[in-house]
Order: sequence, then structure tokens, then C-alpha cells
Amino acid sequence: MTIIWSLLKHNGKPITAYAIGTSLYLLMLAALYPSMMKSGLLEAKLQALPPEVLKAFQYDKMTGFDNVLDLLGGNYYGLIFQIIASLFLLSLAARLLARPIDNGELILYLAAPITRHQYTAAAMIVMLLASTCLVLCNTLVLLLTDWFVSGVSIDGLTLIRFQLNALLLLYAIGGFTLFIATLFDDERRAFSIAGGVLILSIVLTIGAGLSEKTEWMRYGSIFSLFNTQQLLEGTDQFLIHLLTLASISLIFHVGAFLSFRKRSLSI
Amino acid sequence: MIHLEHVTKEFAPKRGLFDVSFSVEPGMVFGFIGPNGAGKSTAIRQLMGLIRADSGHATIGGYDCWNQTEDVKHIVGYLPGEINLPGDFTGEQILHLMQKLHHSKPERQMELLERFPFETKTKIRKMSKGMKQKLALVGCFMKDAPVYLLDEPTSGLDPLMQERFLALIDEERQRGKAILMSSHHFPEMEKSCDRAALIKEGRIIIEADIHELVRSSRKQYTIEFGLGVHAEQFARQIGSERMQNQVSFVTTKQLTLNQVIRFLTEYDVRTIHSSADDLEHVFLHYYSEEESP
Repeated sequence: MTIIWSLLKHNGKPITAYAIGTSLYLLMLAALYPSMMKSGLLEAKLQALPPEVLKAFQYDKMTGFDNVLDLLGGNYYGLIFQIIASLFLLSLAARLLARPIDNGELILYLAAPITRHQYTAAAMIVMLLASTCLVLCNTLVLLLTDWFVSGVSIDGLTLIRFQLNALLLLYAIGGFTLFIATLFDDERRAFSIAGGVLILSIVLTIGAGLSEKTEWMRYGSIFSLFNTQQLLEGTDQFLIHLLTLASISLIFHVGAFLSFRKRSLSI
Repeated sequence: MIHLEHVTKEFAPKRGLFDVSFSVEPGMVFGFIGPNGAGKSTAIRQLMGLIRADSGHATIGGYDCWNQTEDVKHIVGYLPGEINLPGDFTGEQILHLMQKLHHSKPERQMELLERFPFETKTKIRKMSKGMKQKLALVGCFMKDAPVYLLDEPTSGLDPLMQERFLALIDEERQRGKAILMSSHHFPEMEKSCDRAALIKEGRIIIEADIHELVRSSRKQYTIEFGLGVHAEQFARQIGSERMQNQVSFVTTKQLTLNQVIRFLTEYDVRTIHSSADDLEHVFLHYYSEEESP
């Protein structure tokens, strides 16, 4: 418990910054939604954009914007969320494991009667808590706008499905970044390998939207397991996606435990 | 208490540890001497369960250092060679955290802070090397563990703090603690250690009682004469060369200090300077011997 508190204290600022930053962005979009719809500004702007770009952001012109989640599905959860999630979890895994291994700070904990499993478990819990905190803040802000901003109405069930899927996506990416962080002594190497894979996933997601011929690229990316269009339409494979993300998260977290237990540390 | 038996960990040829064995018993201070990259820190990391040996066995208090690392760390106070701590924390926060992690007593911390005082409210990133070293010393010794592993413990400390550290080591030895410490600071090793091992390229060259090591040393002296002609004559007598009015020589079995003093009574001597500490000479002696083909 002491390690978890200490790690939370050490990493509290960036976690809070990401949670508040993304929530404020959502609040701004949700609060502006009624006036954007009234002025027709949003529809006009979207008409001007090429369909490939809209597809990359997971907008669907056919469904239109019946409620604020339609807007957020394209403007935030379509692509921006994936980029923010990648940066958030890459930097958190670096701060919790890759950097302390690289600069030797980890000895503060490993000199104490603590096993490596205990430290890995603490790092994992902090990552899961940080992901949960981000999603909870986002959800809370959207619920507040639903309650207090006139002209905004959010379907509760769709919102829960969105946030649950987003949370599991964060858990899976978190497991992956933590696992990579346990593999190397060099923080930059861990960061660039995990970052490279996540950038490739984002590129595949964007590439998949460019034409029907490149649609297959979506399946090479973990972000295909968070399909906002399917979530909005309710025709998704929601449970399958959740189970797949949970399995990915579990596999990488177990991998992180095994890898960190066995390796020699030059700290 | 601390046992290394034929431990080998090879990182690259001549890099790592090769067939290293030694023991440190309760009430003993064991010095580990060697140049940078010789393997001192690797041996200590082995004992802390940070590195897995290719072969051999390392134990502390009967616990295997790799497989029973948690038990080992219950009885070990560790001072790392490089003090890297989270920069955002203050000294006070680090000590509080260490106290919780190591289950140590606050009274012991207060006592140590009186010996090694520093501004505990300062953030780590604002601390000087000496301050960080004092913080690490307090953190290590407040555990009051039966075993201490100290990697370059006086690095960055001023002479007064070095003296206080030596006094603390002496007290801990008398309380029956087993202490392994690596250092380049020869006077402190000479004053504090009971036994010492010299390590080079991962292999122990010699391990002996510290007084035995010092006794076997050859010491270098430099004599400054009032007249150049005296320096010339003296240099010829001992088979050395003069540098202006100075002559340097190393005592050996053939050329003892008593013999030299007898020669010197004939000349106008201005200064006699002994160039280095005894243990440093032992170190240089063994290292130069190893390097000669």
C-alpha cells in the first residue's frame, strides 16, 4: 500500500492534468453543441470536409448529429482519444518503470523488503487507477452537461458503453506499455518501441478510412476494438470487443510480471 | 553472514565478475577496492538480488540473494553508489517513505540526522551531491540492520562528515554488524576495514587482513635537498635519478627506510615527503604488477 501511495503521489500531477484536460475539452464540445447545431455551422463544416477525413475520424454523415455523443464520437472518441490515450499511457509507463530503471530511482523501492512482483503490482494498480480516473472524470463531465446544459441530452446506456469500451482500451494499452517498459534498461528505447507500435496502430486506423480497399488495415490496429460508429449505432460487437481488450490487457500485464521478475537490473 | 562463492556474471570479456568468493562475518568491516568498472558495484548488486549470477552462489544470513531477495532485504541496509531519488520529493518525504518501507524507528532517524545534518525540507533536485549522500546515509543506517552494503559511502562528503561516518562505522562494527564497503578513498579504508579485497577486471587479485596488506606495501618518498650536488650524490647512492634538488625513491627489502635515514645524515635535507597513503601503495603495487607483461 505504501508503494501505491508513493507512486500515486509522484505521478499525481500528470494523471490529474490528463483527466482534467480531456474533461474540459469534452465539456467545451458538449456545451457548444446546442449553439453549433442551431447555427448549422457544424453541418456546413462537415460538408466541406472530404469523406476520407471524416471516415478517419469515424464520422458518419448518414447518421447525422442527433445528440452530443454523435459529435463526440467523431470529434473526440474517433481519433483524438486514441492519440491522447497513447501519450498518456506511454508517459505513465515510462514514469512508473522505464525511467526509474534507467536512472536508478527504482532502488528507493527495491532496496526495501519488497519483491519485484510487489513493485510491478503497484505500478499496474497505479496505471489502472489512472485510466479509471480519466474515464470517470470524462463520464462525470458528460453527465453534468446532460443534467445542467439545456439542449444537451445524452443517452445513458450509450454513454456507459462508450466509457466501458474506452476504459478497457486504456487497460489494454496500459498493459502493453508497462510490459515494454519492463524489457529495457533504456527509457528512450522502451518509449520508442511502445510509441512506434501505437503510432502504427493510429496510422492503420487512419489508413483504413481512406478507401474501401484499405478497410482491412483497421484490423491490424488495437483501436479497431473501439469503434465509435458501431457504438453509436448499437450494432456493434460490444461484448466481443470488451473481452478481447480485457484478454490483451491480462496477457500483457502477466507478461510484465514475468519479464520484470527474471531480468537483471543495473541500478 | 555475507558469502559469495565462486560467483560469475559475465557481461562481456573482462567485464563482470569472475569466480569471486569472499565472506564477511558479524563484527567485521570488509573493504572492496578497485578501479572504476572493476566489478565492485556488480558484486554488491549481486548481493542485493538485482543481478542473477551465471554461476556460483551468493547468500546473506543464509538466504539466497536471488531467490529469497525479500528475506535478504529485511536484514540489509543498502547504500547505492549513485544516489538517484525522485527529484520532486523533499528529503523529509524520502526519509518518511524509507521509514515506512523499511519499518525503521523514528528515534534512530533523529539521531542520525544530528550526526549528518542537512536541510530536510529541500527538494532532491535542489540538493548538492553531499546533501544527497547524507540523506542516503541516514536512510541506510536508520534501518539498524545486521548487515550493511555500502557502495562508495563517503563520495561527496566533506572531511568532517567523513570522520563522523568512520566513527559510525566503528560503532556499528562493535555492535556486531557485518559491513561490506567499496571505496576509492584509501585513508578511510585503512582506518575502518578489518579485511580488504582488491578487484580488477572482475577478479579478486588479493584478499587479506588490512594490516597485513599495509605491512607488505612499498612506500614512495621524495626528498628535497638544499644543494644540487647533495641530491646528485644521494641519487647515486640509492641508484635513483634526481629532478633538480629532489630525489624520489620507493622503499624495498634492499633499500629500507633506516638505511636511507643513515645516508641522509650526511646532507642538507630541506623536506621529506611521503607521496601517498599506505593502502594506495598496496593498490598501485598490485595493479602495476598485474599490468606488467
